[in-house]
Amino acid sequence: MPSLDESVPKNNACGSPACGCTAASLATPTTPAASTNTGIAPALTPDFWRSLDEVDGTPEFRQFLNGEFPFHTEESLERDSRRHFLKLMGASMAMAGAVSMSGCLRWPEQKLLPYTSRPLGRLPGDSTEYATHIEIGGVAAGLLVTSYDGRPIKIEGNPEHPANLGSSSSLQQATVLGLYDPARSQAVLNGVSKKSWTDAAKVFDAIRATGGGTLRVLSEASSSESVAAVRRQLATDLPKFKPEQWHVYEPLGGDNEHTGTRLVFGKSYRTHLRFANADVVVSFGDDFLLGHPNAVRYARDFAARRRPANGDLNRLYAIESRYTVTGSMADRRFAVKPSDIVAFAAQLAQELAKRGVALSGIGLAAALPQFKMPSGVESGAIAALADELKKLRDAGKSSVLTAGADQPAALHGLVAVLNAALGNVGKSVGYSAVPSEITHASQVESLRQLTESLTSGQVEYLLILGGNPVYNAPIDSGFAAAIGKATRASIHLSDYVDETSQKTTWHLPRAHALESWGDARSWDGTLTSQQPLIAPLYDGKTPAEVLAMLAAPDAFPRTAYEIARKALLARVGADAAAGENAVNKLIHDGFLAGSAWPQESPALKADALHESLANLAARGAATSERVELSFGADYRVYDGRFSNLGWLQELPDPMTKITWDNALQMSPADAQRRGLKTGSMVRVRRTEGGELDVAVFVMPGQAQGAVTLTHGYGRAPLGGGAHRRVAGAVSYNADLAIGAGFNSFALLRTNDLTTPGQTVELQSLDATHALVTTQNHHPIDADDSLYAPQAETMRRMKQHLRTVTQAQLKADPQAVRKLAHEPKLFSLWNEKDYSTGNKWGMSIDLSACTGCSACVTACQAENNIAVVGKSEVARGREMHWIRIDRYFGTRKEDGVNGYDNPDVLHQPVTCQQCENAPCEQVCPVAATVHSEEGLNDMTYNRCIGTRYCSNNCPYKVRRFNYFNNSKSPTLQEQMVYNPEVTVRARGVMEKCTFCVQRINKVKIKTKNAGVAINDGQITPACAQACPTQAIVFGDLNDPTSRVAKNHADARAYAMLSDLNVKPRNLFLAKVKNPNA
Amino acid sequence: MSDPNKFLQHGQIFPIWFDNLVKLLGAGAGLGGVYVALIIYFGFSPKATDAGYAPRQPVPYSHALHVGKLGLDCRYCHTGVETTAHAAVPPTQTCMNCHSMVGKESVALAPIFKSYASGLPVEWLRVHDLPDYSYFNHSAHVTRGVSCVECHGRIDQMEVVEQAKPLSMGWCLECHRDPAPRLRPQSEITNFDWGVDLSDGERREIGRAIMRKNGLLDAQDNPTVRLKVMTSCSTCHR
Repeated sequence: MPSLDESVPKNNACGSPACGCTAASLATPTTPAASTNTGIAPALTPDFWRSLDEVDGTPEFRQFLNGEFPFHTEESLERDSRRHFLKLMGASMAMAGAVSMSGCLRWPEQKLLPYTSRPLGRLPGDSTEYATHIEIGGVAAGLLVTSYDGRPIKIEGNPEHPANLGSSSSLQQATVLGLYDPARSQAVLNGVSKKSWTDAAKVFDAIRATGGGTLRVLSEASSSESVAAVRRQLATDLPKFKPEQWHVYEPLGGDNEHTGTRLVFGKSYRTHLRFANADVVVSFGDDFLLGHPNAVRYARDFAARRRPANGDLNRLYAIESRYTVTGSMADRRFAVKPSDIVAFAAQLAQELAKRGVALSGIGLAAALPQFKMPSGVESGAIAALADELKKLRDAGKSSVLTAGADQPAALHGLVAVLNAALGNVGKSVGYSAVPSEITHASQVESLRQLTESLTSGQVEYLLILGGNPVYNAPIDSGFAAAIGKATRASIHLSDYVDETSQKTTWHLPRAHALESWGDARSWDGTLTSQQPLIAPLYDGKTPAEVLAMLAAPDAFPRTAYEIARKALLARVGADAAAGENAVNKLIHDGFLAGSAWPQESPALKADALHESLANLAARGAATSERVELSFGADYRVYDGRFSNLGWLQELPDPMTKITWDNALQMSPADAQRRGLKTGSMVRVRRTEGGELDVAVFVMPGQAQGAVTLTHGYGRAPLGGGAHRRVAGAVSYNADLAIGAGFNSFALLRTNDLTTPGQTVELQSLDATHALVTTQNHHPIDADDSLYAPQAETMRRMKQHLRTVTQAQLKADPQAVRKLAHEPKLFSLWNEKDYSTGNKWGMSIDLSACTGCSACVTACQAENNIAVVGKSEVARGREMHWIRIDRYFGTRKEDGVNGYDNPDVLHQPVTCQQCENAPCEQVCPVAATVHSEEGLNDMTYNRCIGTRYCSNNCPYKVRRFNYFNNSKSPTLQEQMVYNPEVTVRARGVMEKCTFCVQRINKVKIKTKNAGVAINDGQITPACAQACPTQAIVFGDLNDPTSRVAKNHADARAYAMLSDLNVKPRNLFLAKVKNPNA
Repeated sequence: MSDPNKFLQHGQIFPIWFDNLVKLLGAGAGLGGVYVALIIYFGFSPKATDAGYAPRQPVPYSHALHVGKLGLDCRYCHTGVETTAHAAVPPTQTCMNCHSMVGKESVALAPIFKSYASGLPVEWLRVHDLPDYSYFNHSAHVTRGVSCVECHGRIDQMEVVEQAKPLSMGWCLECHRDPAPRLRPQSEITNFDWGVDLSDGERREIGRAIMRKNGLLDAQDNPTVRLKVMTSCSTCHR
């Protein structure tokens, strides 16, 4: 095969005929097998590419290549006439004259309103941090929330909490914006009329009078001790209310894992993975790096095994159909249809059995061969994996096999059998018993029983605590229709007047997580407390409080505070006086140390597994007509509960880079075969009923014959209105989230929850939908009018994206340096000496970065970054200071078609704080200049908006305020702004500052105390949030600092180092560890 | 069609109305000159920076009485000044520490008593107001030898607090570039009378000693990075 560089005319690898460097001698990329679906000459295929648009060289991509902000001429502002312009000019000049002549220059009079009595320890204008949690799907995250003069403004992970270790996900961080969402429900409603809590209490009194026999409760998953305590009280106060009348439903619950472990252990268990002990990780559709409830912790543990400095890398195999974040970190990824994921596991089990690994389980030997070979997996790959696992076991080492929460129960069972056979249980895999409060076999079953009792008229009162089942229950459950069968009252407690609230007779406003007292368990069972940062803005109540309204008066506390304290006191288990102190400590710390559930190694009793497996093997698979449809949590809005948060709507999906939408992800081969393109509308039809018109997104790496649609989009307007405004977003955009995306739940049927990948029919429609994706934005390439575009692109790609394998790195520690030519540099400038004082620098480890985008949200929250809306993002005007470039890399080793299962590499790019900053040299007003510590400062009040700096920035990291973005949200939403950072006006350029406000804060505090700044004391928001700690910040003049060590690492390289801009951020090259 | 050489025939290049235009332009230039002069006069006057602003406060609190005569230390009320960005206006509670005993019948103090009884704040008017894009931190100055008096003037002599200094960026930079004449020992930080009897040279010498101690000057009195960074943009603008 021709090497890439041979295809570049008259250039050797480094582009300089004279230098004689050996840059291309290592890992010279080769082109993939001829691609059939893009129509370009294979010889010109780059080994890294941003999108299919780039590969095809579409005009859309070229526009972004040639101009950072294309489409700026057709402005959407109202057109002012010349007369209007002159009128305005005249008026403003008259105003200016009046102001300067009369001398009344004073700014508006401001008032200072001090406390009448200042709370102890409260320092006005200083921030305080409180430990609390939010609970998503019954799993708590341990958080630390920063409060500024009584306003919570920023969420970070609790550094001591085992589930977060200081990091946090985008979803967790964005919760703070939800607090200030004006669309939140603000009153108790009965129908459409406003009522009070006293009115609602009368309904609860009536329920108590009935004894609870005709009451049903439907709750979202909850691990709260407070709720459990109220339920125990209700056993007395509602004598006729039986435990089975308590139902639980989550669209993304852990049912299949519970059922699967029951199949093999006789009892339901939760699985705990210990990546520290695993040399090989095999994920069967388990997105444990982002889609898992414990993903923040798992990502930390996993990434610790991906750094060459920590010893040999682990090896990750991902078998999945949707291209997930976990798949993007895999050393070997198999893109297979959902039905083939379990077939892959079955083949692996047989290969292991062939090699003498004993599988305990009756009838497995007969059941496993019923699975066909998974298609798209080359023969020998599974055998090689089996060899590797067997060898590992024989060497006394561990691996981890894990199945995704949505995978069928039988696969969970089979994975448990395999883990046991490979000797992983107790070493790299642990199990904890599922709490006994779960009363139904599964949530699907629970919902089915509830619907049945509603339909049969047994229910007078229905109380729904959280969740949005009308929106997200399976369509064949009939729940949405049955909700009206509650003869006396149906009551819904929720954050918003959502789809369910509009069907119930009563709606109760729920207290936001940051307004609540409470407690919950994290994934490992650690008891995590919750304390309010602010009094409820709208008089909302917590689920425990609402439930306590059912308890007999005076028998049980009524406020969330009292309920939580009582529940926690019972847990700390000490005598009264010591107990109060212990509870205080627990609330202060945010969690109870050592309260994690004990992990067991249960004995296998796999006598029912073979039947479930045989059933699975017999299921229908994709044909040329029908494709397998799978669902999944969306990385941004989860199951739709976060869909009103502007930060998350505008966050590009880590894999597809779509904003403000979801879409049907389809493989390039399937799309080509059906004549579909990104944005084409198709009708998805299920034979059993249910159809949806949805836009297609052509996603390289999506399994052929399988399509994926993520949940949480296509929400109805809130409160029955016609308009839906998203919190934190600018208001001039009318297209905000009205009908954003497509409602996957309109297709969801009960069997999808137990067996993902049911087959559907696709019918292409003669319509398109504008999907906005940022994958083509800010490409760092040569101007394609000057160079042969792709040849030059390929040459420069190695200047900013480098990856090696562990084997290459071991053979030659300098391998990364040799990947690209690093010419001897001569400076055009008199360079400044930064060798004294603090020299701030950053390093980003591409080996650890999973692309999860927690840093993007963290930066948005910390630096008051505007949410500009879909139409502005389409013009390339998103304001994120840190972006994550997702590159596809074609696989050369297997000759697999490069567009159907490419590698993915994530590269976070922020201001590189160049020492020889090109932006500074062109600013006509010195609004961007260097600080003495080497930071590239941006002085907003000087900026006149020429955008020269942005034009001259080689990294394309500067962002321009085309509108008065920061003024656009309501005053209430503006309460989330960080007062330490200037809000930028229209016409002002902005960019990453390395969180200079945090640097200054620590500098001032340490100097006040007369102490030195320790390494790690200053943490920018992105580095703070990063679950894998890929981003490291510190003082380069301190040779012991982590960042200085990283800069000295052989993996370190500067992006576009040949420009001699001397960036203060260095990347650590990505190291992969494929099986040789 | 008229003859294009009409004007030349009469020996004139410019039409008649051009005379008037020249006069108008002359008058315009004159007016423009006055305009520029006025802009400079007002723009550079202390009024433009609001120095001298002394609004009437809801309570006629006299710093001259409390600080000058009674000798209260600044930090008795402005508790945040050594630890946080804001010096902090004291809560009503601080007033009541004394005025629950003293001046109980005073009409002038009525807003204080009302606030204490109702729990609603006294609405003081802000005198010293920097633009929102500049971040001033009291503790960074007060703990490094910059006295209150350097920015606020002789508060101890003011019946009504007024803005004594321009608080403009140029004025800030004067000191950030050359702090020596404006520093004093930490023990005298709230002493308004300190240094009035010292000569400029003596103060400069004291200031330099403090700068050496704080690492702003090295042993040879050369400016260090710590001094230079004081004039970096991001020191005040973020």
